[in-house]
Amino acid sequence: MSEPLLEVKNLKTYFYTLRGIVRAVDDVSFELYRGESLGLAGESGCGKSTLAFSLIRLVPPPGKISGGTIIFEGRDVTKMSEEEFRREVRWRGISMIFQGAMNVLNPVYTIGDQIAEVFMIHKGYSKREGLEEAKKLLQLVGIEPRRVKSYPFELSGGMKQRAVIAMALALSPPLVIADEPTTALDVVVQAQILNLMKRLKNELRTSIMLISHDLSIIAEVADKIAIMYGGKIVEYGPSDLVYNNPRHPYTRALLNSIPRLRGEIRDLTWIPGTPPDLINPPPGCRFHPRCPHAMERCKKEEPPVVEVDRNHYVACWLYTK
Amino acid sequence: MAASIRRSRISRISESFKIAISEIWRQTPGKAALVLFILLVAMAVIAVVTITPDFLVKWESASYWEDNPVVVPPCWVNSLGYKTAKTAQIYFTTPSSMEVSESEVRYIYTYNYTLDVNEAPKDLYVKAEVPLLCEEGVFKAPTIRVTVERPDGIVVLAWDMVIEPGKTGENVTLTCGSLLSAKTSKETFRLAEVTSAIMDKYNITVPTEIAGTNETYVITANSIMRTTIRTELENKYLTILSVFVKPISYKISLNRNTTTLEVFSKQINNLKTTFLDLGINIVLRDKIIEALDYAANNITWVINNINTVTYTDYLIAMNNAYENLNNVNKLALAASAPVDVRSSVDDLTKTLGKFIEVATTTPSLIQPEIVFDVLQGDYRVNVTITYYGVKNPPRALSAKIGIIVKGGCYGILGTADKGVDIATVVLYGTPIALAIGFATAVASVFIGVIAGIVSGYYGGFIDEAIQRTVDVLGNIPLLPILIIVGSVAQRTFTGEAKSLYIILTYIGILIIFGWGGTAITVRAMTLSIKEEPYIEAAKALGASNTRIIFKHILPQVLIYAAAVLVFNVPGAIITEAGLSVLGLRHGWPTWGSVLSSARAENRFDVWWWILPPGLMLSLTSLTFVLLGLAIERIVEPRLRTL
Amino acid sequence: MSEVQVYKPVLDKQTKLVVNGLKVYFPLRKSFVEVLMRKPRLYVRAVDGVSFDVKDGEVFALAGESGCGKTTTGKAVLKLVETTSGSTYYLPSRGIMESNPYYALYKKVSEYGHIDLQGIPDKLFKPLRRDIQMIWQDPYGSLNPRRTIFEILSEALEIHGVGSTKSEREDIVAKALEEVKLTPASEFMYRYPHMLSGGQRQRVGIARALILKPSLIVADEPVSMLDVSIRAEILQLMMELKKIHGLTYIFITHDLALARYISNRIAIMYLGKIVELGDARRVIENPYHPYTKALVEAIPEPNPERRHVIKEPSIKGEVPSPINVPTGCRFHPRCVALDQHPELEELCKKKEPPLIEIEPGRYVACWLYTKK
Repeated sequence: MSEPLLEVKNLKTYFYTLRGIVRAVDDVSFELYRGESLGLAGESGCGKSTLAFSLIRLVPPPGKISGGTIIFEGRDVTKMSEEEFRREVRWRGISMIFQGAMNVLNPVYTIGDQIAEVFMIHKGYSKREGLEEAKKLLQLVGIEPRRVKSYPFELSGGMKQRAVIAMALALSPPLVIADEPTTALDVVVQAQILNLMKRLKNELRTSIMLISHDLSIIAEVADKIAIMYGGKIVEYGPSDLVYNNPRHPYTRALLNSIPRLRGEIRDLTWIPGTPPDLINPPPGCRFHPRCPHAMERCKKEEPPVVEVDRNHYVACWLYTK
Repeated sequence: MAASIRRSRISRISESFKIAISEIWRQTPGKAALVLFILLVAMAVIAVVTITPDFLVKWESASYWEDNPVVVPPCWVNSLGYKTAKTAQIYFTTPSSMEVSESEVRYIYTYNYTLDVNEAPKDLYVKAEVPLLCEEGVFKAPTIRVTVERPDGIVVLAWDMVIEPGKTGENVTLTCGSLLSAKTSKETFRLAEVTSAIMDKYNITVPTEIAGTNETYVITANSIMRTTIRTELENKYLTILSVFVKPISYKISLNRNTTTLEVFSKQINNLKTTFLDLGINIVLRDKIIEALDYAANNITWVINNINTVTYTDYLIAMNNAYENLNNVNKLALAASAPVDVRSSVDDLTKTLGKFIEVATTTPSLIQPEIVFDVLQGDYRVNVTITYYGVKNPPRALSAKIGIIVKGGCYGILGTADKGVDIATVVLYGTPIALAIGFATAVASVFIGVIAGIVSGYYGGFIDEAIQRTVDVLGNIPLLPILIIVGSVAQRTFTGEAKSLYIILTYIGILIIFGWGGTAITVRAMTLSIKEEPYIEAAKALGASNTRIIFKHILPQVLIYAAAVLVFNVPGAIITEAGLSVLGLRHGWPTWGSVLSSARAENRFDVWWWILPPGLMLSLTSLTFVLLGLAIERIVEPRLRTL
Repeated sequence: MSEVQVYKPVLDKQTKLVVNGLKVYFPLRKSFVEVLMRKPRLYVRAVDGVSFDVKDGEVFALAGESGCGKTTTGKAVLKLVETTSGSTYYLPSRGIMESNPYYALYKKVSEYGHIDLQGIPDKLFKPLRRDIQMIWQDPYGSLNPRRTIFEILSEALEIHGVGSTKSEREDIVAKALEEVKLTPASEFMYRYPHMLSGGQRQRVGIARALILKPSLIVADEPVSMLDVSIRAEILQLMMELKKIHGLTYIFITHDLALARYISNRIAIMYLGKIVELGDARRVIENPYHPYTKALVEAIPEPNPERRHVIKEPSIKGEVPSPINVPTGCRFHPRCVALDQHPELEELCKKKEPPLIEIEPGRYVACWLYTKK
């Protein structure tokens, strides 16, 4: 296979708070190829959003990238100057659809102006050229081009989300990160947005990194899944393998907690307890206090990552010989 | 177990207060604000504890500050290179010493004053309150004697009199021990003695080459000298302050102008011609001509020797001329000369006599010039109270003796007109300023919070009514209203509490116009809090509106209100000062009133008069603005929830 | 016509609540120009004629997209919003009525003791609030961040005068916390909401709803803001509490998959009206109404195969504004079934379809299923 588009190695993003160091992203590695989509799943507070912010180097203070490398298109972006990164990578290389995206739009400008602005800043286009591009983009995401003159309040939630996606696609970045892109949207609109993302992936060969706590949303888009727990990736592999043959007890529990539309109604299961405190994570495997299979070893030693199947990795003592 | 976790509401409030204080302290401006605030509060507390009830009424009367020098800088300016005489206000309650003899008892109060600058003090006087002693039904009034021993050894007697009831202008019923009071005045000071003493001490005499040798005329010359010195002292110094001066040079000259003499000479010659033409007895006529010649010769001699003549010779010659003219007068009568001729002789005689009289009593002929300067050194003021015929004098005399020397500086902040001590007024102005500021801020924030909550929570007509009221109030210019109402208040209120009523009027207006801003913000806060899901949850539980307002909305609004309150405090203080400066005075000792008096006296050049109240106003504003900023920084994240 | 059974809520012994023809219109504020031009006042027709009954001890789900009026319906039952017309008949639990000082003042509408909730003054409704409670959607916003858990929970006790001393209330609060498995209760009691996780806060929300021992609970999307992984735990807790206390739930949700698991019957709402009503499993597994069909299709499933197919939900356009509700069937501008049945066009555009029974216990409001 060719060189990956994005290669994250041993990434550590820590928050240096007064209470102590929050290890939000702790030694995370994965890779993503062009045109491939990665789903990043986990409960709230597991560090998945921080991981996304690390990739575009917008970790809010007091957090900062404390170790590891992020190699994007063959270059280590952690070593770039802020100016260089802003000019060459952010939005041009990696763009992001933020959580609660509807509030990202400025209510006093038309969406056309806001999309055109991206071109004016990054490509030096005139306003007229920018608006032309904006129309093309709106068409691409399924909004009538005449809507360039609309203000955000004139659009429905779904249309606003589409406009935000259009902004993320403006510079045709090879990688788009979507952080919970459908929260606060109704199911019908959610389905439409997810379809839009599938289409972008197929037609533009854009790599998508989709972040969600809901594995059923991720299943709609992702080729590859990374399950995060307590700042670490506990299971990572092609989605067919992860969904159909989940190995990590956490992944299994996550999948079992999803109510299904069809089939017999079993009792739903859940993961007892609360996610770990990332200032003082439990020793050994971070999942052991909530794990039904926890052994003595799990409480003491951190499990190594093992390849249980082709390209399917799990960090769990159940799978080490 | 639960009890250990359970904490009382009070301890929680005090804890959150502690947290708030430490949060403020953590910020640099907060630290400054707290230090300044504690300073202000300390000043206010000191003022409230030490203020006398009559101060508020009497502080503007000159008699209250009688012992202070008027418009003098603070004393620390001396260390900046200024030279000012120090001020002493010494009040004795016990005598420094006591002398008892068979016939009399003397109580002596002594004060040593050092004058070390080349500037005389502005005043010196002694105030005495002495008791009337009585023994066996006989009242014994004391004599008081004040002497000042100068550094040059001259002892000046400043006061020597019997203090008697009635004499001091008081109506005192004679009882044993009743206090009689008196104060040194110009009349009690014997300047003549001072002048003599100075002439003796500094050897001031008219030299022989000017005075001549005739004993009488030498005395006359010296007496003129003395008068001149006395006049000089009286004119140039406040009589009493001649105590602090010495002559440094003197010059005596003779008036060598001959114009008057030549007129005399010419008139005598005219008479001579007149008589020669008269057909009168020849013998008498010759005698007259002879006498006129003598007189003319005497005057001519003076004219001829005018550059070397002494005072004695001058006057002897003039006296001779006068005697001769007198003779002419007598002879003319004897010769039955015509009336008009006789009267012109008589006139000339009288004019000459007048000339001589003036020359011997005023410095018209003999002209002394004298220059004085400040006498530096140690002065000793002795006040002696003497009772005669007291057999059992009391050891401790219940007299109060005050020795006051008004220098050229005063206290730590100097004085204003009428001798007002600026430090005192600035200190006593602190609690008034804080009271005005807090009263206005608390009341307007209180009204604003209530109006805002009612407006935001209930909405509808009441909301419209409150918001429109706020709009109207916000668009009326405050200053003209204050000026109009202020001047009406000054005319309307009378009596003792006038000042209080005027200030309350100001506060009232500031409150009426001050709550709008708070109301608008609190309304906005209430509108947003009202929409919080937990408010709806409380309603679902059956919570009444009162409960929602007091338990859910008010606690959040209060945090904001605290910051607004602190920000509002200086506004009212500065408005009060501004009104005072504009002339709308209320009569209380505020910082504004000090500035106001400087303006009234047109003395904005006197820095120690305007800087202290001005700085206090600025510092107070700074304190509250910094404090407000610090509080705002704590509440800011909560304000952001708007 | 005779075989067409138009839905009518049943008022019998087992009925906990009947909502009949409920309408909630929110008047819009007229602008100054509109006042001058004497334009008629516009209304947001949030709930526009909703009828259903809730049986004692069942879980009745109200489902639909945001803005369909499901939450407003729930709040109308609690009298948190003013209703424009319609009635709600409620059967209070015996305990509440026995201790109720206003007992004689209520208007009884059935022999079983149903009370008409609409139009009774707040004073009379206050004792009933103990019996009807709500669980809120937002575990963050619905707890006052400045009050401790104890203060939040004891507020209900204070309002209704339950427990006379603080220690008595502490005992009640502790029990309530233990009931929702926030143990040890003494540890949670004096914490502030921000010190708890989302799941823990929602337990506090449940404890608050239960502390007055109600018999009917309106649960407004109680788990939608929680992680999928802990939703089941909260739902399980709610079901356990239902069993223990004999509760009846009105479960408001947009998540049909979830509704399938926990509710007995379901009503699908669209733009202020019920379009389909029936047994929850049957409705979701075999929807009749085109809107219900589209909703079910749109639900994502944890099946990685789905990433290869792009299937747009069978629905057109966007939800119209509830101010200008389309004439006739309010779903017709978005209906794909209408495209396949052009013969119905006249009817759908002009006449509002009634909610009729097409199978026992299954009701649909669609001209497709209505024999003319």
